[in-house]
Amino acid sequence: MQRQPPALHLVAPARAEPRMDSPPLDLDTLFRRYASYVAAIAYRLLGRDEEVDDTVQEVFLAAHRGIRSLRDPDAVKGWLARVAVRSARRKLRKRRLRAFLGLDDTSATGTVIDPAASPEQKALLARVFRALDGLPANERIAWSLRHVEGEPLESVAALSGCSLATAKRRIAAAARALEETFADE
Amino acid sequence: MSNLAKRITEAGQHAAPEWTAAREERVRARLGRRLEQERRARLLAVAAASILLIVVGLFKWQDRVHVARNAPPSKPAEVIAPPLLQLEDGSLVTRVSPSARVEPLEVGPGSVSVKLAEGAARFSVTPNPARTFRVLARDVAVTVLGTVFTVAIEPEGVRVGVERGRVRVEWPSGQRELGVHETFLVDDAARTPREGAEPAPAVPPPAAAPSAAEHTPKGRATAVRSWRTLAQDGDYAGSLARLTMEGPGAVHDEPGDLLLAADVARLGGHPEKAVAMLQRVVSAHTKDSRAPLAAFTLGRTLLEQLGRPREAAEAFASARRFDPGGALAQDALAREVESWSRAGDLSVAHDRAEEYVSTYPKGRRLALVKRLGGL
Repeated sequence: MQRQPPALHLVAPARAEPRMDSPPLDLDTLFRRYASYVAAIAYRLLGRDEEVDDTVQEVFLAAHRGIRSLRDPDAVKGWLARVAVRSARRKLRKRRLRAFLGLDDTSATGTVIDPAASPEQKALLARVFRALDGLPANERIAWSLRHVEGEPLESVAALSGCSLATAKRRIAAAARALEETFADE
Repeated sequence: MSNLAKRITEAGQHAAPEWTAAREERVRARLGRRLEQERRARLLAVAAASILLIVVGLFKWQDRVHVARNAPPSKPAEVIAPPLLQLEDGSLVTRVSPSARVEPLEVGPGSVSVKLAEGAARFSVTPNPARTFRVLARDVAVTVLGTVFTVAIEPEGVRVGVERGRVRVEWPSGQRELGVHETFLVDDAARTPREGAEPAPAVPPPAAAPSAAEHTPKGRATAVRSWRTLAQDGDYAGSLARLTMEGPGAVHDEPGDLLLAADVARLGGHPEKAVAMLQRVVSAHTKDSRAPLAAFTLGRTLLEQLGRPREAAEAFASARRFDPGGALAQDALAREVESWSRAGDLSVAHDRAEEYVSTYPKGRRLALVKRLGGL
């Protein structure tokens, strides 16, 4: 049974002051509450379904190690998003390396599941994800956060762990590359 | 591109994985297995580190036990115990029992005599064939050329133990040589020796072998020996009483006798009576090898026990004059500085301090001398 895609609210990744009166968050609660959220981020950044499970696992392993320092649920969500972005970046870099060595199956592109999406939207996203496979990981992430997730620039910079200027530069670089692919659009 | 970007953003809202409850449970189970693996790995690492620490600790402990077992038994005493007496040539006398007390009787280039007044002491003697080193304990004399040995006055007699080298033990009725690891008890009651270890060969007493009894003139042995015996037994008060009773004739005008009598007076609680006897040695026996020691002892008695620093300074000066390069010269000069300082004659103290610094630039009393001499 398919779940509705969770609404993405990646904004507010800024570190919130921990509320000392809040009880510590346990891993099970975090997982139940945010697993689908992390999975959606992973999918949109990676563009492939088969790497989502690994990413979710990595994010919550990191959460388990740093769970003692996390008390504020609002901060937790942004923190999980940043960890998901870092995990996705590692995977994208590995993927580019495998592709460079001729080991990556570039045909294994993810499928848009939401039945509400129109055929044009499905086709467009498939082309976008294929085009993104040719970009460096940092540019791809910045562009995806900005245009696939629809995040504001400040949020893109925060989630990418870079300055606003760097985020803009990465998005612009990715956009130039994609313009060539979609010149006929 | 702006139109395209808008279309991509709109399409992106429909991009989502097929995240079902079963899939979520599957990932959760994988996560649980991974966490369990990490927990086991951490436990394993802690256990390995603990075992490593225990093994290293055991090795270190064994090393320490090994070192302690193989260390020569004399080493701690050499390092820890403060010396009772230290000579210029490096010879050391250290305390074995808390009550140990030694008195230097003679310190000269050819002969050193030390009296063990009570307790037990360890003697580490720097080898010097040209110098005889002798320890007197009651009427037992231990003569060495270079060795490490212990002499103990015990209730039943005098016990001598040798760690290195050889010694000759003499008592009024005989003598015996002792080698490494041999101990020997000269029985007090029967005046017969009892061996504490392997038997040592008896040797005939050499004609020139000196002993404590030699200081006593033979013709007056009975009269003099009475206070001498008491002194040698450590009963200085009794010895002094006997001396006082017998009168001035009980002490002969001979450095050894005069020094012993002075010891009896000093240690018997009447240092003022020691002054005359020590002054006699200093004035009438200036050529005797014991004259520097007598002058030094006179200085100490005047300075420390009688509070007469000016006279003490002169006595220390005499000690230096008798034997300028001798074993006592450095200490005598330092004591002279101290005496002039206490006497309030700071200019002389300053001069003597400068002399000390120039003569003994690395002297063992350098700091004290500089402070007292105002340098």
